[in-house]
Amino acid sequence: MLLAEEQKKQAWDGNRATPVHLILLKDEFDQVIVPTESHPLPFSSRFTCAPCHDYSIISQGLHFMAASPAATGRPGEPWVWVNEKTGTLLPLSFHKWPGTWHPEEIGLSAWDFTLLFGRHLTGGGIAEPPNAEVTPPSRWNVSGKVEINCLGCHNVSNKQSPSEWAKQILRQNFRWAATAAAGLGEVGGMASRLGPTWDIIDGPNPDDTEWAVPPFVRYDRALFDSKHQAFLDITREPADSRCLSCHSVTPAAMKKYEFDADVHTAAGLRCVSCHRNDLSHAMIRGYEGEKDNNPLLSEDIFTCSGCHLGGDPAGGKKKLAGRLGAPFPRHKGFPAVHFKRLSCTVCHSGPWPENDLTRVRTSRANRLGIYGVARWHTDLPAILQPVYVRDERGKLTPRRLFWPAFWAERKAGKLQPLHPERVLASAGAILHPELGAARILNALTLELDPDEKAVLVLEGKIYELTLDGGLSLSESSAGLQTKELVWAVKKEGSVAPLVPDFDPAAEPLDPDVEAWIFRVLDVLTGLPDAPGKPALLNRDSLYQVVETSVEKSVHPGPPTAAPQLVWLVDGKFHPLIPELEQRTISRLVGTEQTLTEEQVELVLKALSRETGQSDPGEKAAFVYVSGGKMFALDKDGKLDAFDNPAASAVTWPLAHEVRPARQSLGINGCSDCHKVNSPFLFRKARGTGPLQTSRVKVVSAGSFSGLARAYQMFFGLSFAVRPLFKAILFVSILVLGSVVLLLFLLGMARASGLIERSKQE
Amino acid sequence: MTAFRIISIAAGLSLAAFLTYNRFKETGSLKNKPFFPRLTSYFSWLGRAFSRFLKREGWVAARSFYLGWLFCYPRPWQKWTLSGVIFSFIYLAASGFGFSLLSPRGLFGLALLLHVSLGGIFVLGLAVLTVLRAKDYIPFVLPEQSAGSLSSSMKNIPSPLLTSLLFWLFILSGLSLGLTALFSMLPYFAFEAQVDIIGVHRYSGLVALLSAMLLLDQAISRQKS
Repeated sequence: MLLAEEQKKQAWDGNRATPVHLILLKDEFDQVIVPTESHPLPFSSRFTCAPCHDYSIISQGLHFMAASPAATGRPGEPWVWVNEKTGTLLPLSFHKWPGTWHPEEIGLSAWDFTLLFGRHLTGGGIAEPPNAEVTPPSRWNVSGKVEINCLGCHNVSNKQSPSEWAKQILRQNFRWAATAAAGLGEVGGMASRLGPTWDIIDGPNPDDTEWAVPPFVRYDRALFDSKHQAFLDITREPADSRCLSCHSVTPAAMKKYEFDADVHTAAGLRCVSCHRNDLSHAMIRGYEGEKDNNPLLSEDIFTCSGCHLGGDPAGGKKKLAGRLGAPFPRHKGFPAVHFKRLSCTVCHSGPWPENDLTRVRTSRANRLGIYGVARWHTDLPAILQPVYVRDERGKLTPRRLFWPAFWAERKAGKLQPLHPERVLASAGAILHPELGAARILNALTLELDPDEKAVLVLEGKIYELTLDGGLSLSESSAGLQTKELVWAVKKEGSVAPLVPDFDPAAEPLDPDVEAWIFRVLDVLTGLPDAPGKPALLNRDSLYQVVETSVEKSVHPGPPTAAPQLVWLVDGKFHPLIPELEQRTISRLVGTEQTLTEEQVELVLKALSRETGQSDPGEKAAFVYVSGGKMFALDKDGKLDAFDNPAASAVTWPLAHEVRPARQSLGINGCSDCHKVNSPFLFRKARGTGPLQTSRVKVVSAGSFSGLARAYQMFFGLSFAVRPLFKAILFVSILVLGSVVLLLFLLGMARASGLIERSKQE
Repeated sequence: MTAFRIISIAAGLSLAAFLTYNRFKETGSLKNKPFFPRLTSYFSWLGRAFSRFLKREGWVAARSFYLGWLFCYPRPWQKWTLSGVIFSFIYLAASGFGFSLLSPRGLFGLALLLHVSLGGIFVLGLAVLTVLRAKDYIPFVLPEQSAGSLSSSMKNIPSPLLTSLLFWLFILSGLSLGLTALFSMLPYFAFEAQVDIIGVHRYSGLVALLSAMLLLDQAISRQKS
């Protein structure tokens, strides 16, 4: 009622031009922003846009209702909580969509959710809680709320930066994010470094100008006129790039130049040409049956059929087609059952079905579109498409899928995902296999020349430090063919041992070698969490740093083949990184997986030890889910794999990229889908996940659609003989028709007296 | 689809009632009975006839009728052709009308696959039979006969002419069934035409079924006489 009244108040006058937005910016206290002030506050969309646009109405729009439990129509892409360390890929949704978990079930507060997913949230809704929830423990008072980011979509300026938005959100600079992302000013400081009691009215921190610097904004004064009005280049209909910031989906193996846009885009339409809205921002999603969920629609007029068939779905006499000159589809030769049982997108959307499902990346799940020095996007979750699932109307619809991965505890017989922090706390170093090596490499690199860097050589492969403190597999060859762990130096593509081979019997030891050994051992001594004293073994000699010099002694163990750095702990020698870490690094680094079965086994044991629960097998108290399987410890403490409904793939419909008729299924005839071993029906969906294992769920893509495999194979087989069948039918009809024609002609001859006449003659 | 269902049920039941009622009348038990007792007698006669049919004697009678029919065709391949047409038509009618009337989804799955396959056999066999028997059913060169009248209400139509007309009606509907089946498999017709083609196919099937019922009634009468 309120919505209708407000919309009436703000009725469109019919002018299709966009007004110039030279307006006063206002802060969250509804005060005009004066950019020349010493500490201006960030602008607030709630108060800046309010004089003309009713914020309360807009805030009920689709993009701001991520946390609304209200019916929001057919399922969409869930939010995927990706935690690489714990191998967590958890589909979350507030809408109770099948296969998803409610964030509150996992212990995520609104603030946690905003921090996790705010990078691709539009603000408002869950990111803008009521004032009652703004309490010191929540940190809302420090970060501020994330108001609706109007400019995120409606700003025409190329300065509008989704990357900047994500960066500010991750710094917990929630209330500053919109100002920074729009390029209205430069935002510095990090709310994440501030104590929980800081409030925006406290202003800058005079005691700390280096670390705990409260966020601040320096406006671009050139944007303002003398009356402090700022020019905002606003459009009512956002450009596609704005939508694609959060809604991009691209094949993972495809190069950028190879990508073909949706046929509608190629024809000149924009996203908003179909996905329309009014002030309520109840965006039209465009699926069949949406009219039941969207107050803007009384009919499904913005669906595929709504546009292409117009208001005359049966074809009718006029065949005027629909909006914007959408061509009227003829669908010649298609049995009508296809239109009853398949949605348009089955044949027209997504990639052409190949032998394998197509792996894609999506903006939100794979964190695309956030650019910087570090690599932001993730390869997991592995989203595959398309599988065909029957919707509530009984029509097959193409869907994307991914296999969830998470640690879980069994509660009342049901699996309850564990918060990654809980798993990390229990697992300790098990889930940080590269940490020790990375620390050592980092410390050693600091001792090297600028053009050199320390690397780890393991089983002939080279591992290097990454910018974010992890390890990556080097593309260059080690040149050190040894199975042993070797600490080495990489310079201009060549790799040499960190401690070159030397003759320990030489007396005295080369001063340069001795100095280098001292530096290396000294670096290792200074490492935090060093488990013991560093030492160097070379053949039968042992070198250690004693006070300020290297002391040589006899190595009590078997002689080594080459210099070897070790820890000396309680009189025993240990490699610089434990064997578990070596094994894990060599198996995982350079792959997209983040866990080995050995790690999972150890973590499950750690979790069980903590709680004293040790039921084996399927009923185990703690499990790990990945690749469509549930992993638990058996009675011998070994990892075993089971099927479990919670491990099933989560799916959601896809609609784009739409292919034109000439590239759609059926263009080559029935055998595009109906044939023996048809990829459309029989290709396999193979479970993927963070766990490196061969034990994954493999299901026929056809099983998602509930189609009987044997029947479809038989049916497909029938198309092999169909040309012959048609020929037999044609000849039979020709014979029948000829006889009927003869009878007709005979009757005509009789009626006209021709026969009698000819007999008389 | 709903209209087709209503028309099919109404037409099928009406014709079945008409034909069985005529048979009932031939028993001569109607004389001077008022309407309701006559109706009661009819239904009890129908029940008895149906129950007899389900018993061994019914199957024996059906078998002998079938063999008698085959007897008209001297060569084995002709007998096979006739059998193919009869049994494929029984399945086509049962599956087509069964699914149309009972399943909201219509004909689908294995039943549809079999329907399409047997449809080919039916049309092929029908073409052969038409070539073999057309000369016997030319409506305007029939011999004057009076045996096996259809019913008292249609007794003014000479029986051979009626049979001949029914024969050609069955052939025409079979031709239409074959044509519409073939057209629906060819890539020349747009969606709306496909919908119309299926509609024509359904109604052709109904005409074929009704004419087959009448032909069967004629044949039974002839055998009895």
